[in-house]
Amino acid sequence: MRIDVADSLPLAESSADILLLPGRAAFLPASATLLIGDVHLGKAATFRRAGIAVPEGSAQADLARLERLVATTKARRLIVLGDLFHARGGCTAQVFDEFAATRARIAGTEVMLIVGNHDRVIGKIPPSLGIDSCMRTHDEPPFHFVHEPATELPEPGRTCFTIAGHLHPTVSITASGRDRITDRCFVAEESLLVMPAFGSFTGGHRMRHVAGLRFWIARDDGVADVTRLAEFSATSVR
Amino acid sequence: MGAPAPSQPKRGRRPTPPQASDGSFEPFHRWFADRGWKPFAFQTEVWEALAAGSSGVLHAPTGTGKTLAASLGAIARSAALAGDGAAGGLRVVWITPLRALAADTVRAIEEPLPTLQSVAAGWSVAARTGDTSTGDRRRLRENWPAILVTTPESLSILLSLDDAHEIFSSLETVIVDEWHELLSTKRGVQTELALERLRSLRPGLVSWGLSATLANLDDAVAALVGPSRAAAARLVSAAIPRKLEIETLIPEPMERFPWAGHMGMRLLPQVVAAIDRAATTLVFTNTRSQAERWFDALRSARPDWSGAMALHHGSVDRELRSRAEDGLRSGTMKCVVATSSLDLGVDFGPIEQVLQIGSPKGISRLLQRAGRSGHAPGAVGRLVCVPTHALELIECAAARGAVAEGVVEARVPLTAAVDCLAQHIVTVACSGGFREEELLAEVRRTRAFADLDDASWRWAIDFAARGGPALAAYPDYAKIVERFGRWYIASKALARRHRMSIGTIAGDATVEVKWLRGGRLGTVEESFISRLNAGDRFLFAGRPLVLFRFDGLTAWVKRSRATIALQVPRWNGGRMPLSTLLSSAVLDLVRDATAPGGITTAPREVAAVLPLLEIQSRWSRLPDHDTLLVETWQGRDGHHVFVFPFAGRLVHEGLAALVAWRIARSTPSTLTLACNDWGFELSGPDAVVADERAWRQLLSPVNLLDDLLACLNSTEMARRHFREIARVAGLVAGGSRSDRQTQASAGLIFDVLAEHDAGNMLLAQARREVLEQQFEFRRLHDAVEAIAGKHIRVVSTPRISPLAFPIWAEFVQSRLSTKDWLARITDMARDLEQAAGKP
Repeated sequence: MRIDVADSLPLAESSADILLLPGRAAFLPASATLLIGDVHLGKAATFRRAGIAVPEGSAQADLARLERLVATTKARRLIVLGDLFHARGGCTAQVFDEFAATRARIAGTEVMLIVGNHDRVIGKIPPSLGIDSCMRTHDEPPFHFVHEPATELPEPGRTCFTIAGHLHPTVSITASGRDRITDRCFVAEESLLVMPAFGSFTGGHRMRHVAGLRFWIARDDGVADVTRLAEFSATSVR
Repeated sequence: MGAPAPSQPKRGRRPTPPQASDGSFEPFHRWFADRGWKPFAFQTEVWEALAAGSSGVLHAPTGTGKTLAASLGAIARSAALAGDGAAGGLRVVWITPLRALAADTVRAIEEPLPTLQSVAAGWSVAARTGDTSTGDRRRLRENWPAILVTTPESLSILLSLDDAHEIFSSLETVIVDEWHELLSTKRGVQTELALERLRSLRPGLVSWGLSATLANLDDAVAALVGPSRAAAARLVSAAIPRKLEIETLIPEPMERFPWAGHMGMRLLPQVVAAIDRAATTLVFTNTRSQAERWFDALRSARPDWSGAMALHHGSVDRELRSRAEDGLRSGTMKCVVATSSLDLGVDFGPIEQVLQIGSPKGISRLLQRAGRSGHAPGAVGRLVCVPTHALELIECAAARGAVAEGVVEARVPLTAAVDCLAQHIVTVACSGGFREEELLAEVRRTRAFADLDDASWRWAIDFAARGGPALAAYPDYAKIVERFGRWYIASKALARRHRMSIGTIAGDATVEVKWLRGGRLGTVEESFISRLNAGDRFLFAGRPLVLFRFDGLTAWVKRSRATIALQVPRWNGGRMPLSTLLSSAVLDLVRDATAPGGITTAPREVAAVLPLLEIQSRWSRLPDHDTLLVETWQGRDGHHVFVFPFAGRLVHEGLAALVAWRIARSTPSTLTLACNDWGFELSGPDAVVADERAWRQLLSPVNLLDDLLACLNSTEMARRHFREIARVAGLVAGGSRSDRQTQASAGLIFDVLAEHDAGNMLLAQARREVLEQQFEFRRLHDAVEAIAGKHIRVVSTPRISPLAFPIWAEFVQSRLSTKDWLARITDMARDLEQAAGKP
């Protein structure tokens, strides 16, 4: 499976299987599919209802970024790899309305939601949101789309490449001297790619470096392969 | 501090002062007399002051009977007030900084009560801290003791209850124990706010602070009673000269190229001999890692002590710690290795001597630690300094000299802590609400917020009511709501959550260490354990361990048979910078010892390092008060500059970063930084600026604050520092783990605030606190101003000078793996010794 960092347009002409995009998204040129995971809409609202003063703004910024990604990639389809929403308590009318408005602005794109553990507690997703299909996993050889990478792997013996979310992966690398950078990342192994969390107001889970893993730091303004640095940081004594 | 009961008779030589006219002290004197003691003058002075309704601060060395002065004084006040007719209820709140001290404090206060029935009939003492069980809390609420021992956090929780005004309706006195410990912390600010609240509930309230001696006792008084009442408050001194002997272990032969950590273990035989000669020894180290290493080394040296040795530091499980404390009390311990975790606390009785590994770094710390020994009747406090490198010998001598002169450092109380204010506003809203102008006036009566401006107050109210001034940014949010001119908590659920968050203690993510077969050992920082793999060996809680499995919450361990190649956890923090007083004293000693004939009068420690100073003056020059020494040296690994401002490690970290940033602004370059308490180093592949004029500009006070903020990558540092502020202000949920939907890291919240509410005052506070706590900004500012008035001498040295060597060693240590740097430094030291020739 060839994974590349997207550097120039048009993406559809790339010969890679998967392109990693700035803004914590990925693109499948063959099917013109945009991939994002773990958006956690309504998380800030959940906090405010619990008396914790987190400002509004991050969800709006995330949705705006999504619109830009759809526009620049000209994606025919968007697959959300789970946890589009955060919690029932945060799913206010405003949160749903904002999503519906974004959906309306990308009307030409099909939206598919792989249901995540957070989405499940929301209950039934209102049809007004314009999500075309909801499923727990989706098979589309050579790809297998799922939310939790560990629990719903494809049947043994089938050679397919899994793309998942759920982990909110981050990686720590040691730069010169004592500086350490921890940032969200894509992480991949032989037949698995885990997406960084798309939502800005989401935490991270630090991946420990194991031989064979590849890491790309995923920022809003770029993607960088840091596999070598991660290897170095894991072995150097600090 | 606890009453050193047995030592009382030896010191009570002062004449008994007159009793109060109503004779209410008579039972106290009788109680003292029953033990063959007499009260000290300061004790009766405090009784009289309390009986007369005065507030104040009592300062006295550790273990001189402050507890009895305050507890009996509070009883005297109660007796004097008896005309009020208030029977039962809570009379005295006793605030202690550590909940671990609460039980001992209760015991110490309780001791005389049974014989004081005439003045304190039916009085009882109980503790309420974070450790108190829910059942015990309920029982307390049904029947309050006369004296309640509590922590600042627990007191804030009580103040947030609906019926706070009922609970405190009979309160007469508040005692704040170890006030000096709280003074320069946010918990001190929290205490100031709580005291002012109590004064509003009980206008006649009297408050006393018990403190170690400080240079700024006036500030301690003003913070305790509020600036407007400071003039009327009393300052009582327990002028009891405690006999204290301080000596220093001096290594033979003395090396001339010292580096941190190296020499310490060479002194092991002398340390073992020192411990051997005393019945009970308390060994203090400056960091937890050092404590682990020394405990391990001592146990290996003397396996026969292993049953009578214990390790005591903040990460060791509480049960293991109490076992060590009990052992000290009962005298069954030969030796306990501890960190500042044992700095405070009620008396441990029969400790004969204290060993201080590494420089004490501050005079007050030295006194506090030395005060732990020699409480037995007629005993003398004895402290032995064990320097970990040669230059620390001078610091030990400087500390000894300062103690003899009776000088001590100041502790400056905090001001403008917006997070504490935000928390307090919600606390008061939980308990019956408040009128804005009344609470503002109350808050301004504290020292911490005396200068609070209207805009900041407005912001704090807005923060509680709407999340922030940007109304649109915080829909559906309201922690407090206004009804008919009063602010109330918005819901019972929010009040519960708030109470939970008051009690939480901030800290880095920690992981529990447990035996695979059951039983807890303590906690280590996650950053350490996550670097280990299953099968790795490490030293913790004084035991060689092997990691079996780490599952994210718990590190499961087994005992390791192999005792070599053990890693020692590194805990963050705990490295105190050399105090200004001590660094100035160090320069005095160097000047005096190297003056003509100085060798005859120099203290032993300084005489021992004279050969080192001789090479320093031969290869470079000696540092002094009027000159800033800058050394340049070119090694195989690049160019090095060493600067010696003598301003303490934290200031040097800040100065090094500042200079590097100012250099890079004009010439892009990659510089590596290192520092210690005496100076800092910049090194890089290219020659670093060498002329004096350029150095004057690099260290100029012009634009200091802006440049520092710019160079420190302040967002990143502030982001890391934000954790505590976020917790205090209620931005990260404390307590209940069950509520996973609202778990977020402080770093994440910081990012969201910076992005979407940049004017949030908590962010500004984080930046300010980073500057102050990371780099001691005020001291850094003073240092830069002082440098502006000094000569700058740049000396090019043929080799690394003795003063520069320890900084260079730190630099190498930070860059190379353990094996490599040890070899490199040892080689280098040998080469330098050869170059220096025979002394």
